[in-house]
Amino acid sequence: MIILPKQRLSTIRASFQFKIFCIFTILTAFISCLFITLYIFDKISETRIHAKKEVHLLAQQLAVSVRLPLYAENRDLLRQFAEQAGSVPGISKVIIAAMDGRVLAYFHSPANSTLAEVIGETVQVRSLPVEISLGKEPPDAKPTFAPLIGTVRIERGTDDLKRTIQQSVALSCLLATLFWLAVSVLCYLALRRTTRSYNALIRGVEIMQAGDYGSRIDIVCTDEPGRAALAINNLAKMLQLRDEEKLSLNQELVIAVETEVQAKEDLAAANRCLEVEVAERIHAEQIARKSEQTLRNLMDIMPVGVVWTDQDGTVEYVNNFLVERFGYGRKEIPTLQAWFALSFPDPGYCLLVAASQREALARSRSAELADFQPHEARVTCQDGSIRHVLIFNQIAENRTIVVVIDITDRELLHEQFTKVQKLESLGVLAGGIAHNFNNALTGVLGFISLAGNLLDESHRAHEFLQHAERASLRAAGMAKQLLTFASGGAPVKKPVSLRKLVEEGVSLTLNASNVRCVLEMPPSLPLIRADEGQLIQVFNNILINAVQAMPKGGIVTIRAENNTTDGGDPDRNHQREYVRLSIADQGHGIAEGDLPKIFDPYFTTKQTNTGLGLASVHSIIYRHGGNVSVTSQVNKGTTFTICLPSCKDVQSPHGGVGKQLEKAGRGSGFVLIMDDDETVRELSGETLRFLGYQVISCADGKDAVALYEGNKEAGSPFLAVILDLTVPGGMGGVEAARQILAIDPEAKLLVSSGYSYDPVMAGYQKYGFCGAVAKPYRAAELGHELSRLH
Amino acid sequence: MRKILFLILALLLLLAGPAIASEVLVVQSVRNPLYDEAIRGFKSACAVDTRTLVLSDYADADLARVIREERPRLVLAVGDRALAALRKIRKTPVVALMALNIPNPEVSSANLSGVNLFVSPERYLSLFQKIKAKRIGIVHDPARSGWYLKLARAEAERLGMELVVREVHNPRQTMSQLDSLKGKVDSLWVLPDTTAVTSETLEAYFLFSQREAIPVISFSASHLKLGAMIALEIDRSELGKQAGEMAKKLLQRAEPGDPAVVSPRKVFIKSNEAVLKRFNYSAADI
Repeated sequence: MIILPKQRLSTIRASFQFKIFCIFTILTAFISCLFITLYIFDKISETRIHAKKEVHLLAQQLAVSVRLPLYAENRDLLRQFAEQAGSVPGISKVIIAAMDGRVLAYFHSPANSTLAEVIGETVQVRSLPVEISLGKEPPDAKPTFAPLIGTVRIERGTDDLKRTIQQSVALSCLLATLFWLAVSVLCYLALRRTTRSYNALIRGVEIMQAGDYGSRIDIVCTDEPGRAALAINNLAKMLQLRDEEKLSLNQELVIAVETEVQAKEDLAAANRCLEVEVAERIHAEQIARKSEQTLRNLMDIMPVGVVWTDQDGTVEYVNNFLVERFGYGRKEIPTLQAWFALSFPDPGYCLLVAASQREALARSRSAELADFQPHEARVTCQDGSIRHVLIFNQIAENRTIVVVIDITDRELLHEQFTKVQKLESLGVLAGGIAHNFNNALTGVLGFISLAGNLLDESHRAHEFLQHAERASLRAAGMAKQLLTFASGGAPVKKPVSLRKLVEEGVSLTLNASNVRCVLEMPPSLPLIRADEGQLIQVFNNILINAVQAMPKGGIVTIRAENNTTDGGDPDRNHQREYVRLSIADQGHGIAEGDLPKIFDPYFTTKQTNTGLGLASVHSIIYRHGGNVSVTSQVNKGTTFTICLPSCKDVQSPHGGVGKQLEKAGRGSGFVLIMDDDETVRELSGETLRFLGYQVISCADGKDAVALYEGNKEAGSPFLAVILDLTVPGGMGGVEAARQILAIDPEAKLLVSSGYSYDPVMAGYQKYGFCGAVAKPYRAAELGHELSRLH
Repeated sequence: MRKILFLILALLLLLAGPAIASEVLVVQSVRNPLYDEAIRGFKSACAVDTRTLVLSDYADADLARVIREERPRLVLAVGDRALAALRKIRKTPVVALMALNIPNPEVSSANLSGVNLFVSPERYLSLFQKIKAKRIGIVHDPARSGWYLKLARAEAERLGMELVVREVHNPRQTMSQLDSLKGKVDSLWVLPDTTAVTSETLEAYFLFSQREAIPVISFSASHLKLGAMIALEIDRSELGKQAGEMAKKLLQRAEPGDPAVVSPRKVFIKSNEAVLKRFNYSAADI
């Protein structure tokens, strides 16, 4: 571990040794300074006193020495004595004076004569020798009164004293400093030695603090730290043992804790599972409650009646269906027997039903599996109507559950379904007949058209050919209606005149009725893109309802107008040009409650109707991009309003016979015709040849593919190929088109079919065709499609 | 090489010549101007060849060998040390000069003569008389100055003064004997007694004098500086002349005279005016 100098310094500063050392050295320094100060002061005082004493002693000595010379006034000797005294270092003046004050000897030392302070002592010289007193005189000493001979005065300068003191001070300070340093060093060494055991103790404790109880503190000596170290070693040993015990216990604890944790985790998992389970149960309960409630709600809205009773037959629950369908309130049927009594007023029949129920319940109790064999019954409703029901009985958790299914409507539906199946069968039959009929009519119409082109218009046969064409077209229209009725598929739209379709529909529906039709349709009504057959079917269904609503006859008013709105359909919120067509009758109207449901499938207010007519009207109009709505007033009449998108293509419908081919447009090139019907092949061929095309025909798609491939390889590819959609027993138009397009992706293909509602016809582009011609097609139509291709 | 040796021998003989040729050997204790003054006086009275030997120049001078080798006719002992060194000389006449320990005339040796430093007591006592001293303290060694004190007693008795005498036999007794004179004397007479007066005890006399406030009459003017009031200073030159006359006589093969040891002929009376003033005397009174 790297200890930074600053950290090391702080550690050192905080150490016991350092503190003691600092305290000791500071104290030593303080004491040294104090002693030095006191010593200096004492030295100064002592020096002064010593100097004074020295001067005094010197003066006394001199007094004693000069007693005789002074007595004899021996100036020379006195001078000598004065000089001798003055030779003492520091003496500045020596004055020996006679008794009368005459200076007999004077010594002055210039070196010591400064303005500084001087110490002077004057001693009397007496005839008796004066004992040089170094200290206090004894208490019994008697003062001497010897005759005064003279005086001796000695003055001493203090410069040397000051120097001496300064030297003493410097020396003292130096000594004190040395002393302090020595003491500090010794103290340091002593502390080091003294604290060695402490340091060892601290190091050992630090090591142990780090967790190493195995280490032992070195016992340097048997002083207090040594004893402490010994005690700590023993403590460490104990701690080590305890640590080991603790480790083992800790391991056991860890294991136990892990086990506990695992158990807790398991418990937590179990709790979580439990919580999940509880949540699931709660959720399940909620779901159950919800389910129960939903069940109740479902049961309430179930189209079957549900009753459950206890073992005694007391009704615990009755759903709404049973109450509403049969009309008996919950209070009227407190028991099942009460319901039986009301529902089966015939006592015998009631007993029979009750017996059947008892049998069923007995089977239910005895059988291992639930026995849901129902028994039929005819329930008399409160309004007196009879409902055919199936009654299911089940024992569940000491309850009797009775389920009553009203099969009256189902039977009705079954009857209707049977009718529909029959209709479908008829539709398939009709579709097949229509298909063949279309093929035949294609030939008829085609040749009539050709004949018409070959005859002059003034020829008498030309008028007959026109009648024949119109009759054929009517036959084709019937065939289309049959096909429309049979398939009901996607509309094959093309520009048609709404007026024409309405007139055709009116003629088909109202010709044999006592209902008169009033048309209010402007001649400038735009064309619409529609499937003629389907729209005729729409108009037929609406007009049939109108006729049925006016059994005594009336007027059906059909109005049409051009409109630029959203068509009145909130679901189709886009601005377009629409043709609004309204068909209004004067019938008994539709009840307000039935209005929302009249377009629902199978909804009918008439026993004999299938309920599909208006549903198909709604479906057909919707597929044409329009909408249909109804308004009605009871006993006033009903008005159906149809909005269909108008078509901008204002091409006038095809003209009559003779002019069609001229309008078709001519062309040239090879055209391949594939159709299983020979008549159609001949008609198509003649028509195309008339238009200038060269025609090659075949009966099968496989042949068509081979011919196309051959011509292409020969370098004379076909201009177009007309393929019949349906080839019984052979390759149809779709497969042939795929193979031809594989050979030549740029091939121009037309599909023709008598099934104008076939999805291929409706969406021919998806199958690679460039156009579609519905049979029976006229020559003009064929020529028009071909001319459109190039 | 021979010539060099001959020259050295001649030089030595030449140098030894005067030593051999001198008649008087002057043995001087120390080199002292006072001794020189006396010797000059001696030479003025006895103009003979002399050779001076200063004992202080030698660690241990063998005077007997020197005398035996030089065979001076007379030896002049100047100072007590020289006198003591010549005490064993018996054959050569010795004239003592400037020595305190010159034996008293009553006891003298055959070859020893000289001039002592004892001024006649009459001169001293007359001074005491002038200062009206009645009781005169004296510390002496009878062995050295007993003869003198006898003379002084007789004179003092004649003059009606009392001599309070204390005897010492070694210098260490001087202090105590002086103290014994406390209150008993009114003056102090310092005799040139080498036992009673030594350099160590000299100041005691004057200190006693200072302490007791009694005048001191001493035999040396140097003592005036120590506090002696009056000092009879011997004229050293005259002293030397006296010794020279005596030596001359001895050289002339005459007897030294009787007594062989004489007192100084001429003295100076010197006084310390400060001390005189302290005792209310003046120089005119003396």
